[in-house]
Amino acid sequence: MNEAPFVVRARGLTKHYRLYPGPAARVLEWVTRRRRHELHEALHELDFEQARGEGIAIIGENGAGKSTLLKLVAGVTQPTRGEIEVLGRTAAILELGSGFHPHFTGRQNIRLNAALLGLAEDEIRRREPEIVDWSELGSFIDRPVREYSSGMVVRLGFSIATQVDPDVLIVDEALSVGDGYFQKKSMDRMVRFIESGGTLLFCSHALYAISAFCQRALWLRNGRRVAFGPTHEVVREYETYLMGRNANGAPTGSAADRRETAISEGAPAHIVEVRALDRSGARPVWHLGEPVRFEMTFATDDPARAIHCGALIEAEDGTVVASLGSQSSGDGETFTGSVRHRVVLEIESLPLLKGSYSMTFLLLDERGLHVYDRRDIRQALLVESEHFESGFVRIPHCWRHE
Amino acid sequence: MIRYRFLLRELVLRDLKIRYAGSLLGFLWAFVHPLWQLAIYSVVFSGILRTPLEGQGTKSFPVFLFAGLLMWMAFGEGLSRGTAAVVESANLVSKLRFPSSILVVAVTLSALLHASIATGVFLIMRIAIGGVAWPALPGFVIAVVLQYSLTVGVAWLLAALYVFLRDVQQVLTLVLSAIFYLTPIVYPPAIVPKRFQWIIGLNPLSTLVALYRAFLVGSPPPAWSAVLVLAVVSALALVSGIVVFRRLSGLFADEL
Repeated sequence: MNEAPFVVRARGLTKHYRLYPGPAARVLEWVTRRRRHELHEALHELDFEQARGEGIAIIGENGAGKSTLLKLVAGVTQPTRGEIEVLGRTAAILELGSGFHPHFTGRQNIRLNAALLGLAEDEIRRREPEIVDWSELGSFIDRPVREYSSGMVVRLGFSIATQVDPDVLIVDEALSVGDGYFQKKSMDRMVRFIESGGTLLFCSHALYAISAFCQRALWLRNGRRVAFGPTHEVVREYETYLMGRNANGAPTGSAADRRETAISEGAPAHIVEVRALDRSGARPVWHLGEPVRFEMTFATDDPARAIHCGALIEAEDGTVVASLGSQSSGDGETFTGSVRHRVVLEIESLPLLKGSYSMTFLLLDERGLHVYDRRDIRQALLVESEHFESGFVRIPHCWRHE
Repeated sequence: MIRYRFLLRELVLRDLKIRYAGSLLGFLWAFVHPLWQLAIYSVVFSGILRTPLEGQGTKSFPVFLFAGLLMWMAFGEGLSRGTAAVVESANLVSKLRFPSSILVVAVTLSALLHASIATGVFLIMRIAIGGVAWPALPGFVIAVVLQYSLTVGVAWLLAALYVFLRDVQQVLTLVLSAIFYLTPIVYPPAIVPKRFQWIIGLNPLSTLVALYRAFLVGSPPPAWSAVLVLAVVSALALVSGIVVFRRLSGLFADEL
C-alpha cells in the first residue's frame, strides 16, 4: 500500500434516511414515481481526514449523527452524497451487540465473524485461540451466544474486532457495557492498538476516556461538524456547551456521564475508608490557608497492582474546582506492593474561599485512566471565612504601584 | 468470490447444522420429512384417487412421486428460505461489510444439498433395483444447474424486495402452494386435459420434473423446446435477480 497522507477521508459526506409513513407509501412511490417520503438528514456535508495511527473521537449528543458516520466509515451503509474513502481493512463494533448468530456458539461465531471480516481460513484458525483467550469466556465459548449476557457479547465482539489486525478500528459505545475489569482491559487494548500504529475511530459519552487515546475529537451536532481539533480543546468546548444546556434544565451532562463510568462491583481495587485527619465531628470546618489532610484506605486484589489515587473538589453546582491526581503530583509514581494501602492526601494550604465543597475520591489504574472505584463525599469541605471575596479560590497575588 | 469461499462454506454448514440443533432426532429429520410427504401423497393420490401411471416408466406411485418431490424440495425450500435470508441475518447486514448476496447463495445451496442427500439415497435404491436411465444423466445434470440458477435468481429478487416489503413472504407462500399443484409432481402430465396442456408446457418446473424423472424413473424425456424455454427462464431469473439485488443491496442496512 502506498503512503497516502490519510487512512480515512470524508468529503462532503451526506447521509439522508428516507422515512416512509407506512409500507403502502413505498409501493405507491415505486409505482407512481412520486415522492412519498420525508427525508431525515443524519449527516450534512461532513469533511474530515484521519491520518494513519491517529485516534479520533466522535462526540455529540444522541442523534447527532455519530453512529451514522461510523457506519459509513465501516462501509455498512452508503452515503447519499459525497464520498468516504477508507484505505485498508476495517473492523467495527457498532452499537451494542454485534454480528453474531444467537444459536451458534461463541467459537462458531468467531469463525463466522472473522470470515465475514474477510479473513482467510488459516488466518482464522491461527487467531482463534488468542480471541478465545482474550474474551475470557471460559466454558461459555462453546455455549450458544443467546445465553450470553450483553457484557459477554461485547467482550467477544471486541476480542474479534481487535484481533483481526484491522487498519481502522471503529468502536461505537462498546465500553458502556461490561464490568469495570473489562472496560479497563478494552481501554488498554485500544491504547496499545494506537501505540502500535493502528487507526482508531471512537465514539463515547465517556469524555474522560476519550482524551486518553484520541489525539483529535470531532464534535457533531444535528449531522454537522461543530468543532474538529485537539481533543482537550474540543472536549472542553463540548463540556461548556453541555453545562449551558444543563443550566437550561436539560437532563444530561458531563458530570452525570462521568458518574456512569464508575463501576466498583467486582473491581480489582476498592476504597475501604476515607476520613479527614485533624478534624473531628460530623461537620468539620476549615479556613482559608489551613492545611488539609484526608486519609484513604483501599484494598486491591493483587499486590502487584499499581494504583493511582485521585480526588475531585466540586462546588455546590457540580463545577469541578480542582482535580488532585497522584499521577500529576509528587513523583507521579503509583501505589503498589501491597493489597492494602493507607494513603494521605495533603493540601498544604487550602486556597478555597467560603463555601461547601464536595469531594470525590478515586482509585485509578496505572495510567490514571480507568476508574476502579470512587467515593463521593458531599460537603466534605466546609470552608468558613471572615473575608468577603467572591469566587472559589484565593490566588496568591498583589497589586503594585508602578 | 474466491475470497468469500470459506465464508460461503461456513454459512452453508451453519445453515445445515442449525436446522436440527437442539432436536432429539437431529439429522434424521432430513429423512423423516420427505418420507412423510411421500406417504401422505401416495395414500391420497394413488390409494384414494387412483392416479394412472401409464407410460411413466414405473408402476410404483411412490417411485414416480419421489422423483418429482426431490426437485420441489430444493426449489420450494430454497425459494422460501432464500427470500428470508437477508432479513433473517439483519444483525450481520447492518453491522458488517460483506456482500449480502452470499446469504441467499448459502441458504439456497443448503436447500439443494439437503435435497441431494435424499436424491443420493433414492438413486442408490434405484440403481439396486434397476430402472435408472443412464442416457438421461446429462439431462439430469442440466436440470440441476438450471434449477439452481432459477432458484437463486428468483430468491435474490425476492430477498431484496422482502427487505422493503414484508408482504413478499406471505404472497410467496400462496404462490408456491399454487405452483406445487400446477406442476405435475403428484400426478403425471398425461392426465392434464388437452386445453390446459400449454400451461404444463410453459411451466419451467414441469420440464425440471420431467428431466428428473427421465433419469431416475425412466419416463419419457421432455421436448427440446421445453428445455430451451426452461433455460431462457432460468437465465432471465438469474440476470434480473442479480440486477435487482445489486441496485437495492446498498439500502439494506438503512432499512433493517
